Amino acid sequence: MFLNIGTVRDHLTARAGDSVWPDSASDTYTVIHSDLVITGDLRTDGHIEVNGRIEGTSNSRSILVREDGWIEGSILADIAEIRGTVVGAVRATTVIIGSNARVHGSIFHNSLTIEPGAQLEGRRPWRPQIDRKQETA
Amino acid sequence: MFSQSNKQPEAKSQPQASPPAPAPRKPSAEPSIISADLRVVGDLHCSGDLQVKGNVEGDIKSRSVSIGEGAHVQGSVMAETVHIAGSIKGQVEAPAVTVARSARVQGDIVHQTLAVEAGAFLDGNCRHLDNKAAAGGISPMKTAKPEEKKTATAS
Repeated sequence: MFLNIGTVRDHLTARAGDSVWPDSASDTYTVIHSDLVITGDLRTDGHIEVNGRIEGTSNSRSILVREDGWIEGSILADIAEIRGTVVGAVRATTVIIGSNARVHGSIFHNSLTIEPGAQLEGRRPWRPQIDRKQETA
Repeated sequence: MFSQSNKQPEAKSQPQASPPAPAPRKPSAEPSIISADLRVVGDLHCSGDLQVKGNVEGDIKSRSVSIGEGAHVQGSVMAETVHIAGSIKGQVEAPAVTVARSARVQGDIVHQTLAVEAGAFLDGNCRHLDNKAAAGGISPMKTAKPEEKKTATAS
């Protein structure tokens, strides 16, 4: 059976020592719903959940691009879970690509999980480490 | 042979068109949230509800906007209803504007109905939407003029 995402998250949680996705009610949880379009850059040490559209770069601790989410621009994060569309480079220590994902751009990662069915266009280079604080998204 | 693939991997993938941008969607039931530690440099367009708790440097257009306590907005805000509890540097334009006591507004407020709680910091002019054009207002979202130009071109 294919690797369950739940187990990946559990593994991450065990490694990071805290929950991978913060509580949705917390101060560090940003939600971009399907009716919101952001034209510009985002920066946070928290979590971003994208159901809507971002035209610009994002730099966050973690990011979840849902099926309806659409990002044109690069993503920089510690953990990136992509189930929607990304046109641009993804740089994250841990990258999880869902089965409905479409990524047009390189995926720089230290650990990569791809579910069957994902449409990936671009290279997927491994890096010994990805420090989002030093890189400019 | 294989070394070639290293040179221009991106260029090769270009002919295949990138996915088209989705059409704007209907307002979602829940508000979008810009969290307290998020900083956005750019514009936000929302056909639903928007809660800003963090920093926005750019313009906001939405159906309803709530600028929470501790939030900073540098740019204009245009919506149907605006609630301000944080700080704004820029023009606010909405039919319904409420300003809470913790708010700090530096800029004009163009409104139809305005509520200001005692203790709010206001530095700017308050104008009625009807007088906006006369006072040299900003770009129109919903013009106050009742003329119906669109009926002639309706198909």
